Amino acid sequence: MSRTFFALLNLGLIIGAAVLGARLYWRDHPEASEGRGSRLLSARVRAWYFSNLEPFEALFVRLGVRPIALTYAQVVSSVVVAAAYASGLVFTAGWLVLFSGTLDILDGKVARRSGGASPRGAFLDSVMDRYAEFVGYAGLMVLFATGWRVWAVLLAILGGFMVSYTRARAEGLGVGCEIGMLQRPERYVLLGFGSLASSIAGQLFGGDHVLLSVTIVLLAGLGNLTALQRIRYVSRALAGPTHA
Amino acid sequence: MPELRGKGWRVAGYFIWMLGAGVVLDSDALGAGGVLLAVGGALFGHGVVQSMRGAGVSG
Repeated sequence: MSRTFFALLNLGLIIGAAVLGARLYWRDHPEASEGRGSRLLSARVRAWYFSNLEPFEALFVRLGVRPIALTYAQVVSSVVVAAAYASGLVFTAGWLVLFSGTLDILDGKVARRSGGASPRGAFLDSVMDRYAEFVGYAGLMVLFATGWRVWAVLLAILGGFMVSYTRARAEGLGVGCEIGMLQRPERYVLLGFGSLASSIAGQLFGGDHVLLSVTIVLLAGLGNLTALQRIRYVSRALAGPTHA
Repeated sequence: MPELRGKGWRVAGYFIWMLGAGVVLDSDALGAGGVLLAVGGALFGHGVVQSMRGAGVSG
């Protein structure tokens, strides 16, 4: 069987499984539309994905897996993401990005379910997230070693770090800042599915990672836009009567 | 692993299937990729059967 066949089969399965899963979940959980979400990832989609991870939360808690072990596993998987991108294995890298993002979700959920959530764990999780994010982008820089796309990756790194830094600094000053269209889960989804789609499109139509390039440009643009949204929001909040 | 009953096996199977797809699409290791595709598909099917036998449609 040819790779084109596998590419088409996987495209159909990715779309089919997502549509089927979402339909089943939304039929059984109509209340899931409440809660925080964004334009790219609604509260319903987040709730649907979290519900898919509940069996693994329960399993890890029963097995006594420590949340910090999942955090470190996420960093290790990000190193493999970088190696995959650097080697041109774009579909595998996209899968690993989604896997790494899933571990990022699971460590916090396992910590809360097992009663082991702590400020130390939250701090280590945030710090390791930054390392993991940078390592993944480093692989992309190797893949796009020459040309304009290296600069797009650099801007994407800047955007991702500024989105996190603005929130951390704002919360240090007593201002909540969970706003913006491209927060960390959105970045995982965009890069992960962008890589999968780029690989499948490359198998079907050829081209030099065209969709992945578009994804990087989107990450760079929307990431920095989100950082600017946060700067504006926090600046206004701090100029108010309570903080001025 | 009773926690994975139904939905858990479906999700695990889907992830393993996708990994197999990556191996098939990105490399020449068609044998290893085929094994992963088969294991992933079998686990997904196992989860679906468990769901139909009482773990709930989405459970």
